[in-house]
Amino acid sequence: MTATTPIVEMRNIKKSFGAVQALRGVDLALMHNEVLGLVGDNAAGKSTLMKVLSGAYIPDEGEIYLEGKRVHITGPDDARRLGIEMVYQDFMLANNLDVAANIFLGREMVRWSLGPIRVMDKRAMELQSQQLLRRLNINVSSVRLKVEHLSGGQRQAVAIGRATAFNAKVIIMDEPTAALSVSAIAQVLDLIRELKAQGASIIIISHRLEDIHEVGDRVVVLRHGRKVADYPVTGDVQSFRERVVSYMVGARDDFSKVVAEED
Amino acid sequence: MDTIGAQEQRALEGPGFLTRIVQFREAGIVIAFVALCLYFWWQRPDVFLNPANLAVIMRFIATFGLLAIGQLLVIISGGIDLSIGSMTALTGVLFATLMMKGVGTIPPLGIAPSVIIVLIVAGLVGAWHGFCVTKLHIPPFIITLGTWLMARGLAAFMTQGYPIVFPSNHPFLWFGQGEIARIPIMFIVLVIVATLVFFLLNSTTLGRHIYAVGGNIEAARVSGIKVNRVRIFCFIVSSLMAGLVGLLLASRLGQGTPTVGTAYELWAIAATVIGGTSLFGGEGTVQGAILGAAIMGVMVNGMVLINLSSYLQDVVLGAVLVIAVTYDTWRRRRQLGQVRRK
Repeated sequence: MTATTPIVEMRNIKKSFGAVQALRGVDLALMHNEVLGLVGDNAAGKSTLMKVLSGAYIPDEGEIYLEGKRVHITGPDDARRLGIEMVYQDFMLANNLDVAANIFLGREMVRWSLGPIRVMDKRAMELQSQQLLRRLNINVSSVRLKVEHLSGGQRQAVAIGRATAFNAKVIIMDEPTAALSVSAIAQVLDLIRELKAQGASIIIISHRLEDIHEVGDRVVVLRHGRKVADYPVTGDVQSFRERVVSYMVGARDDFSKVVAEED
Repeated sequence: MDTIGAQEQRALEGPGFLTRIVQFREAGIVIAFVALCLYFWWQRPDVFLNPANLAVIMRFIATFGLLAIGQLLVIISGGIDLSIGSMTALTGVLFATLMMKGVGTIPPLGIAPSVIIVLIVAGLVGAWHGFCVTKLHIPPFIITLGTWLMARGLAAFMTQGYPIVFPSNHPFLWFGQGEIARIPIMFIVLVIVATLVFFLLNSTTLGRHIYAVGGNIEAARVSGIKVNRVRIFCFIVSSLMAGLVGLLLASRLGQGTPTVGTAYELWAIAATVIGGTSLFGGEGTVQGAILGAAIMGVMVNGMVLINLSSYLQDVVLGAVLVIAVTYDTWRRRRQLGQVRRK
């Protein structure tokens, strides 16, 4: 494996729902330690593409390579086992449980077990959660706080922290800043920068182009289930936004030959 | 991860012992329980603490505590089980029928075969509830309401409305009527079951998953928790508790009777709610549910002792329920506000 092998490569992914072609052969590559912004108008196919990667959907056609090796993802469990973690837009936390319980939800550390009776090692989980939060500079006063006591930004930070807790290779974030206040957005963007500094590879779906501009290395634009642009993030936020929008609305298309052949 | 630093150790120590006592969730209920006991003791020092009277209270607590524990699991996981009162009647009648008209006592095994058959039937009813809720997407309220009617009707049909009476020297009656060191067997059963379920809820992964399913079922699902299995498990435990109480009540009364346990499901729900359980799911404790049953037990007993009109007794109990829930809601909101302000 060389530095130029993408950590994730999706080739020619196609997915239809009945007569609707949600994805018409999309290629997408994510490099090691890269933050990739995935944008597009509603129904452009970005969530569908990420659901294919995270195992929620099985593609009709196409291949997925992880660190150069072909993988078959048939469910969310598969994706998780391969080190692909998803952070959902509405956090997907159990508000009635504390921070440590949420970080380890479904993957509790077990002290001893007897058949189906599995006794948790709560203290080890609390200590590890605390270390995780400290390492990521996530500001939560105690891992024993219930999530319902946290602010929106803290909840998103915990959700992102959870995704990184188990040596994830790839972290997919679906609109990580959509439900947050301005100050909370800054917190989450700081966290994404921190994750990148620590070596993570991240795909961010977002409508907020300024966020992609701030933390992204590269941007991929989808439109009508096809990739229409794929280039590094450069320049000031104003010109970046204008260029991305021109792709989103169909004024520009870097891969239009494919269209001509198909249509 | 690297070795555990002293900083994490310190941060985990948390509040001191006294603070934890004050913040103890059930502190309010414990105080109310003690106050009630003191009041009735003061009113009737001649009777209230008599062993015989205490045994009456303990049997009440055992009956509703066991039902409340089953109900608790279902409610924490986001459901409700209205069938348990009728199920105590059906299981009691089924057991009496098996004993007096069916397999009876098989010498080396004693009553065990009949007990096992009754508990299997109860468990299957719970599995049926779980199946309908998870696979057929029928609301728990509706499916258990169906059983509430059907179990009661079936119990009446099996006996044609008459109780099936055990001979007064039948060894089975020991479970409901016997005592060890003046503590009713029923109460000992409650202590054992409560300990097991406490352990289940607080220490095992399954217990944590039950809370997670009730707190946010989608989050539980995407975290890889087998959500359906967890919910079915809770319904099975609830029905098993109803079966157990059905056996104990048949033993206590010396008969299997189709009218036993009427409205007990509501009493069990009241006990869990007085004990701080949220009907929205995700919140509730075993100790709370038992304290709720204990408060009701002491009140029902004490109000008789002080000769309160039996009509007024229900009024008082209803008021206690409302006050308890109001207090708990207020306490929780205040706590939420405090943490947010920090």
